[in-house]
Amino acid sequence: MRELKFNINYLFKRREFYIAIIIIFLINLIQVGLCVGETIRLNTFIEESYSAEYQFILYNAFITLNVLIIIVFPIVFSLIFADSNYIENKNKITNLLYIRLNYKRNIATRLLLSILVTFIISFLGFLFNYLLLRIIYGSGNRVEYFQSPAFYMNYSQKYFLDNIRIANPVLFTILINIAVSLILGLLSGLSYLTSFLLKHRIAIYFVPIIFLILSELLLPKIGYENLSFINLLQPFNQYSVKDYFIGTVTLVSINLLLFLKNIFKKDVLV
Amino acid sequence: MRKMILSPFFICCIIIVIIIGYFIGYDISRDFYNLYIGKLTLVPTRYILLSLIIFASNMLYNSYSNPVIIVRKKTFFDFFIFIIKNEILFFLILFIFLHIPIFILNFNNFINNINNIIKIVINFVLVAILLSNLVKLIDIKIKNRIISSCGIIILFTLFDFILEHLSFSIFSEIYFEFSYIFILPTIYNGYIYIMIFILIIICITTWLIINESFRKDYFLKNENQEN
Repeated sequence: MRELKFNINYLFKRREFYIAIIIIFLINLIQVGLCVGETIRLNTFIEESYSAEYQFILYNAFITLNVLIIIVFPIVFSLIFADSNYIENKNKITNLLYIRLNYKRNIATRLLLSILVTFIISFLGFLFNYLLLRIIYGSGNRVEYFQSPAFYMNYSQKYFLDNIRIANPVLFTILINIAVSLILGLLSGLSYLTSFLLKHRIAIYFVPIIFLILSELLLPKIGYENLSFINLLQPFNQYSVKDYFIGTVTLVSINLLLFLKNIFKKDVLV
Repeated sequence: MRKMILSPFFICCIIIVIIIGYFIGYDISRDFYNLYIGKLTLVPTRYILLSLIIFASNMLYNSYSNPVIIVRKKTFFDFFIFIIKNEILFFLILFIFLHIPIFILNFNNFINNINNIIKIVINFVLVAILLSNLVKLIDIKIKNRIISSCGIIILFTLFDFILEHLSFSIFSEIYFEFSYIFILPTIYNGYIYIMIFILIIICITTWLIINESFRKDYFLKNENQEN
């Protein structure tokens, strides 16, 4: 498909794509460094430290990602593709481009690519973090001294996939990795679709942050206390599979609405 | 100037700031001052305000950074001071609108603590100008306002993250977190020294920006030579 080929080539020529990869892997590496630093500070090694699954960047209750996951990750992922249409309109090459490509298919391709590329980069970044921690700390349900017996460990339905965490911590880690990467991908798609509505380029990159923070403040006021997109990005917070499902469907619906609004706009060449 | 203040983009920023102000001012009357400064340290408040500072600075840069305005101001120094004066005005407008809901929801407590709130407003304006100068400085080097703006926020966030987790081991005697950035007058007794320090950094960054701009900009160099 021409649009896909064009956009993949365009993606590989963008330096923001490589900047995003470097920043994500750097953050994951810094988190590993902080875990090791914390272990040295507490003088607890191997048998006395938590296993890799509990030190994992998305599930570490002590070295929390709060600020990074709300601020840095959305900005970095928005840099990849979100402003592509804006730049084309500003440089007045839209008319040249859409002689050769189908306008609607191009938007659809870019939306799918921004979600997919964000998903892949964040998934691989978190996987890198997990593999490093696994090499250092090993695997298992070790949250106390030595391997804790299974009958001492509790789980609660209030926490996301908590029963899987006890039964198979490795599978749990992979699943929360997929879950968070999906939300980040959808946020990246949201910033791409809102770029059609904004006149100021700088605002495009901050759309996910403003969306996350304003939804956190406004949703409890209208009766949706359980729905928190910031919580969905931090699996050690208290939210169930149902809350995750509702959050994902909401994000997908918002993306779909904006996508339909953009493709049913008058074609630039008509 | 009026056109920029009434532009839809700036009005959106004001609406966002009013929403944030409402949530800061909501239900804090039982312990107004502590809850007020506590809410100013939260991640959403902090980063929304930092983002809006970047937006305002960017909007001004895009509007004023053209040869017509530069020529009208005769020297680059005048032009730069003109930009800073407008930036101070925009930042003050944002912070005043942040406090309007707090004022309405907690009238008596607001008036009783007006001295401290004015100190916080002054601190905010200084931090905002410093941030704006840092963005301009990076922009001169990399010639991309977008990457410099996003880069500053990313660097601050990384700095915040690392500082938060290293505070105990490295800064055990001088406890500082990035969350205190907007409430420095309330945390440190010797805030006057911190204010002088921030002003010195602002002056240094301003001097660097002007010098670097002259070195790199052909138009400005020639304009200055003609004067």
